[in-house]
Amino acid sequence: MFGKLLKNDLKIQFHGMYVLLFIVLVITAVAELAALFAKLGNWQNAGLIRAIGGTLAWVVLLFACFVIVGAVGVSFSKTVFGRSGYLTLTLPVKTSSLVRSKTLSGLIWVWLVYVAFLTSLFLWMMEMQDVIGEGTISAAGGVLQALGLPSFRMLGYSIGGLLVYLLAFVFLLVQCLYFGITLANVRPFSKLGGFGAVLYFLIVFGILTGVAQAFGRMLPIGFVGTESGLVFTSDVALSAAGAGVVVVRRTMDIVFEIVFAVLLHFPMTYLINKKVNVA
Amino acid sequence: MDLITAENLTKSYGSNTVLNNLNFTLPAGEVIGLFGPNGCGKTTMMKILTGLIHDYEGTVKIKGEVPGEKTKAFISYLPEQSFVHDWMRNVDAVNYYADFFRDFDRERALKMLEHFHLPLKQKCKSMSKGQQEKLVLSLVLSRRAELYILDEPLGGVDPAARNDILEFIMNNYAKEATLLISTHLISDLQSVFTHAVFLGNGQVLLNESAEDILAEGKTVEQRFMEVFAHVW
Repeated sequence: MFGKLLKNDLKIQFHGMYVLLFIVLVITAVAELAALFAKLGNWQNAGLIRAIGGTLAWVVLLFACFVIVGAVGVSFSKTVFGRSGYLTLTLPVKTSSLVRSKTLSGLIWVWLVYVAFLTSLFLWMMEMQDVIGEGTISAAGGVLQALGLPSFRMLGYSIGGLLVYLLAFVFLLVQCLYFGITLANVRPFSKLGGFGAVLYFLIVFGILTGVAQAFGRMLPIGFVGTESGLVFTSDVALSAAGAGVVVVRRTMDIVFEIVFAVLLHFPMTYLINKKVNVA
Repeated sequence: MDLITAENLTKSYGSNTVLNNLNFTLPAGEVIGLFGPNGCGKTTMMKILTGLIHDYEGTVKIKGEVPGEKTKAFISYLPEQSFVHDWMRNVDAVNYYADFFRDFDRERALKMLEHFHLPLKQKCKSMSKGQQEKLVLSLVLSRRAELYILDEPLGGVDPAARNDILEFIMNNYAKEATLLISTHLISDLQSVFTHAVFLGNGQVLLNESAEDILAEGKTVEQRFMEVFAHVW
């Protein structure tokens, strides 16, 4: 049953944001292709076109990073607390399954857009380093050095770590968003309406990310990347000072973000189960 | 045999008590009319039965179960407003129901859509309110449920179409099931009810079989006027 829930939630959320995704896709594709053709065709003002194209792509995707969060939130609000809630909440499934499915589908959409944004940013940096085309591989080294990464291996560690960190971040983001919306549908918190949902989300998200980072600093275990591989260390700050260390990633921030996101599931399910009345 | 039991059921919205310490049972296998003026708590009671409202006092049981995951599997609910997503086509709505309700009869649903002249590929947002109501009614009645809860099924239907819709409901619900219908259109529906519940002032003012009411030489509507003349 969870598979069916997830399938339908992905579909429902897609229908709430496909216009945005389509516009972003078109603008990004046109911008990137213009940059590529300008380079390959050796157009007049090719450098300017490439710079504008690459910049436009990541700016649009940065914008999409914010809008997608709003779109996922609106979808959650409509399907649980709006008139579609009559259908959602009368399905013969546990409320916790409903929440899990909506969280996972929201996480997938937001994470994909965030990854697309980071990819566009990376492509833009390569553009700026003039590495698209024949000299890609050799020139990529210059980009890596600019990023403080001496090799592709380091790049792999860095991107891998970033994607995992992003996943935890988006997980907490989506849970806080859903929690804020849920709280805004429970009396007396409902008095502030939609504004309340945004406010509760920002407060809860701010507090929990702050606490996660504080705990992360108190327990500075994590990974450092060197040319010989990834090394687990009990103090990333101390290890980062060592020779050849390039990638540093604190682990406990991520762990606490995931723990907080998981813990938010329970009060949210309780509120939907016991306190929320579908209007 | 009783299907629904409520003990000391109370539900308030802030300081407004809509259902006040209700105690009642409702029989299985009947067509039950839930009558009362606007704001008397009909929809609230239906939401409690369907598991949409939880913050009430007292106990409610349907087939011995508190409204929840288990009862949702055998209750088919028609709310006052359409719940289908705007982007859905009729066929998407049918597929959605087929995904989640084991008692959903897909072939039956398709026949009902055909009966109402609703094309499978038509999107909900391009449909009139009346067409959307017909779609939702088709979905709800295509389930082989044990309890159908219909909240004002004729509320948005023009007088000319009411008889058709009513006939459609009576011909298509699972005959061994219980049908609970709320309405304020008593005169249109009184011929089909086998049991009547009057709700007013937060109380169950009457809970009798239609046979008993008729035995008194009165119609359900006359009894309604009599009861509510004392209340309002």
